[in-house]
Amino acid sequence: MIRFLEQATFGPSDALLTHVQRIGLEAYLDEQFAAPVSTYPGLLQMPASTSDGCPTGSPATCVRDNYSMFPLQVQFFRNALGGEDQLRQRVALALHEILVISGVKIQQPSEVAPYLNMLAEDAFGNYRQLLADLTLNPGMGHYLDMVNNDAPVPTSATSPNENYAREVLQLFSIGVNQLNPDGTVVVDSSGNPVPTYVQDTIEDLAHVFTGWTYAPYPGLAPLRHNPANFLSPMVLYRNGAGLDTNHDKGTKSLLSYPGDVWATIPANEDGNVELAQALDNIFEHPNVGPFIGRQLIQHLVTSNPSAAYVARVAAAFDNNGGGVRGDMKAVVRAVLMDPEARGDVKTDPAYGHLREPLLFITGVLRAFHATTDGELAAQATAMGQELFNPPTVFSYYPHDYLIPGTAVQGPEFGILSSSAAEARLNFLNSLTTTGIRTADGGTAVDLTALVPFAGAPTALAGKLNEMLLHGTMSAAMTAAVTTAVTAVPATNPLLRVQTAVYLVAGSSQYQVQR
Amino acid sequence: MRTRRQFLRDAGCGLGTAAILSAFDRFSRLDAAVMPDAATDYRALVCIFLFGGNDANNMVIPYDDYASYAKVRGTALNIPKASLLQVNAPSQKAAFGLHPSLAELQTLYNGGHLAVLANVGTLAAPISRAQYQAGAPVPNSLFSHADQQNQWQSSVPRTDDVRANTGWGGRLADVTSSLNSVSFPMVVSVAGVPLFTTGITARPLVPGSGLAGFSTSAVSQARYAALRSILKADGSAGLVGAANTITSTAIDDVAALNTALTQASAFTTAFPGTSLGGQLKKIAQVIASRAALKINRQIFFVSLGGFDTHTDQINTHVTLYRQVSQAMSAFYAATVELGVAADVTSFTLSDFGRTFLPDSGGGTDHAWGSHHVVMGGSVKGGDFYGTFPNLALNGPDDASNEGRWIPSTSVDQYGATLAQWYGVAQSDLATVFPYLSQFGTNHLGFLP
Repeated sequence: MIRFLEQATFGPSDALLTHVQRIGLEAYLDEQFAAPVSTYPGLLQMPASTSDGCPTGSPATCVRDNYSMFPLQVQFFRNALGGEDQLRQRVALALHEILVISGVKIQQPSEVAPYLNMLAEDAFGNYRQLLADLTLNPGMGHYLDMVNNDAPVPTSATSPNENYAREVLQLFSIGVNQLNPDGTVVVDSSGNPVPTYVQDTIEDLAHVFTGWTYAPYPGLAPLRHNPANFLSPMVLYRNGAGLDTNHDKGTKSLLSYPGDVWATIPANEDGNVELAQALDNIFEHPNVGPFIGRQLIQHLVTSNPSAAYVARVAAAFDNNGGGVRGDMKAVVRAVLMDPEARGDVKTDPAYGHLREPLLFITGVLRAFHATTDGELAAQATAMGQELFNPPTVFSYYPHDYLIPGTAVQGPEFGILSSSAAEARLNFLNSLTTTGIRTADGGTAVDLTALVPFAGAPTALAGKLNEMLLHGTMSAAMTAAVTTAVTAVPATNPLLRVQTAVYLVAGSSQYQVQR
Repeated sequence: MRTRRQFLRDAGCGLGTAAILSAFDRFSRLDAAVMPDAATDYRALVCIFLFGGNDANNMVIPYDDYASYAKVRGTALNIPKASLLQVNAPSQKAAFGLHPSLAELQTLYNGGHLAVLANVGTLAAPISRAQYQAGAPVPNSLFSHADQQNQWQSSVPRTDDVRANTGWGGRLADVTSSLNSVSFPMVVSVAGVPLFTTGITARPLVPGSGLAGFSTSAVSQARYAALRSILKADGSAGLVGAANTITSTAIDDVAALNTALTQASAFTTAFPGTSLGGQLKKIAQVIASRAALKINRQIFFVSLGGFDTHTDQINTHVTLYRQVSQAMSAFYAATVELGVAADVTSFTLSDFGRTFLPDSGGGTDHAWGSHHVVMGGSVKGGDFYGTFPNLALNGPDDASNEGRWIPSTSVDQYGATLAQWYGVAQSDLATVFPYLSQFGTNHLGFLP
């Protein structure tokens, strides 16, 4: 039950554990699918120049609150720590890390909030709808340059921008290599992986994505390149006669695969029609289920799923049981209810996944009744994960990262540097003693519920074993914790608790969610 | 050799006794294990990775033959000829222009401390345009960021080759480990744990502030002992074991480095307050503590992102190139001040070059071969190495019709030249660069 909540939420709490024990896992999933969506605030679009948006005399926090991801980071932690829609927010985080946009390029939080709300809204919808919403999201349009992508004309010295065309295939849907339904790579007779597309495919798809611009503001005449508007989906530019004159009208060769749809797009189509056809061409590719499904498993359950597990999740993507492809509820249910996610204690050393810094922080805070102002992003940054500012569209860490010297995948190890590893321990040190201090109140845990156990060090270790490790603490670790706690005078029970929490939450057995 | 007491006194304040003891144990273990073939001099390589794929077409521009540049770049993505920083390339018998934001690099070039390597890239084997079009072997997943970053860092163009799972910096550290008499990590990164930095055994150290919250009290020491024991408790296998190893090693090595840093030679060279400036300053500080670390060979990794210029490249390049130029120049000055200018060689890597044909939006798309720079007191600078590409779209060096240059020099040759200066044995070259024998020379000549 604890393991399920670690996979499906931002960490078990006493109350949630009691609730799910009462209603059961299936009913909890249904409840979560129906729970109201926690949202990110609608923020004001500011002038592009910070000196215009935050002129002399503005509050000291003006730039932070309007030109950095700060308000969204705060809301993330509030939603994760207190939101009722835990599963939706957890899946939305996974989707953000697969379908990336980043404040590294996007200037204002107001420009990212609609994207985050869209991910949460679509998390339990259909992946085809998610692809469409993602493609026309103006934050994505700006991030990967589909917005204002011009059709070439005979005299032009430029070609259509290939950025979105490449990454929608490589990262958001099918990946670079053909996959078997179980997620393994198809190879040719000389051992080379078989590519899903060639450079010409990218160039043709880049032509499909021409002609789109920001939604016009009410009352303004539409232009080929409208002024930036991040609140509404992008639109196809149409001239006064209703013609999409900035859309390329040539034929296009898209993805070719058994049972393909719209592998060839005829000439002279409307840009809107063509976009739908191209997204169908991508969505129906057999790679999508294993490619996206495997990554969702990695985010929620384990870094090294068996091929059979991937195949079961991909099958749920292909058909939800009612003949529908891309039903995210069916996919999420398949990920979480699979025998490989459920069942007895897992003994395979490659099972589970290193908690990414965000999940490490939320897990500890939810376990120990934290009060917080939500200002925790700096803690995650010190651990190598700068929330909503992933360095590139390839996210915070590579989903296929191999732990050096092994054949074991551990995506989150891609940011576990020596500095980051110590930052995890130092976070616990602050949290269990002074708390995390900020000007707005900071974050503190309440360890008083554990004080009654402090008189008996083995009982204290046992309680933390139950809360954090669902009973998997090794004998050696129990002995080490007990020794360290016993060294603290019994007259200082809180220090005993602080010592034990630091050691158990800092252990690799906790850092790796199993 | 200092006594244990002197060490503890010298180690300064700020560290808990536990960490100091740990650092001391590490040094004493190292002293006991002096290698017979350890080097007596000092040499370091500094990899500067430009993430995103640098469009070197606007970094190094033909001056004499500016027309071939202007023909394609002349309208949408133009660097005016008058603004170019002119440099002579004797090997090409021509003048070129550096991007106007690279003033410091021009000075280094003219001073003979910086060289340009033209049109280098990932290759499975040398290949012509005709061979490319006929389907001859090329690296897996050309034009993909992740794959090409990995290939630049591993020097292995095939994903089914297990050697692609390690970096050439890491493998170089593996085969040259005996040049150091200490087991302190040869590879130090201030930009995460990229593939470049990991070998079969080599692992990068990423500097940090160290472990917080421990004092000399018995209670604190008991907690420290328990932490160390827990981090060993459940073996070294799998995910838990990997986290154990990384965390345990971090506690030891960061403490050792921070102790050494307190004994580093001071330097006064000012670094710009930029990302790359800060990273290279940190590297300079580590180099300044080499005597305290008793280390003779080091490989460093720093990086700068933002080079994926699909749009607005003109403005973006101004900021990025200024940052690169000023930070590299400051770093070179610091090595001069520390007396190690001839012992430190810095070099750039990047995902790939970019299309010579501009795209919609004032940017460029993913391409292949690109130009790079090498800097240091031992570099035979003031010249170009390799072959500058023919800048014609659909021309002899274009893999497409948009100006994706087919590399004329391979990453393997580039790395092997650096590695030989660093001190790799000839017999180990093939371990570090498994595909090197596919290519003509294994030494490009920009270093002795």
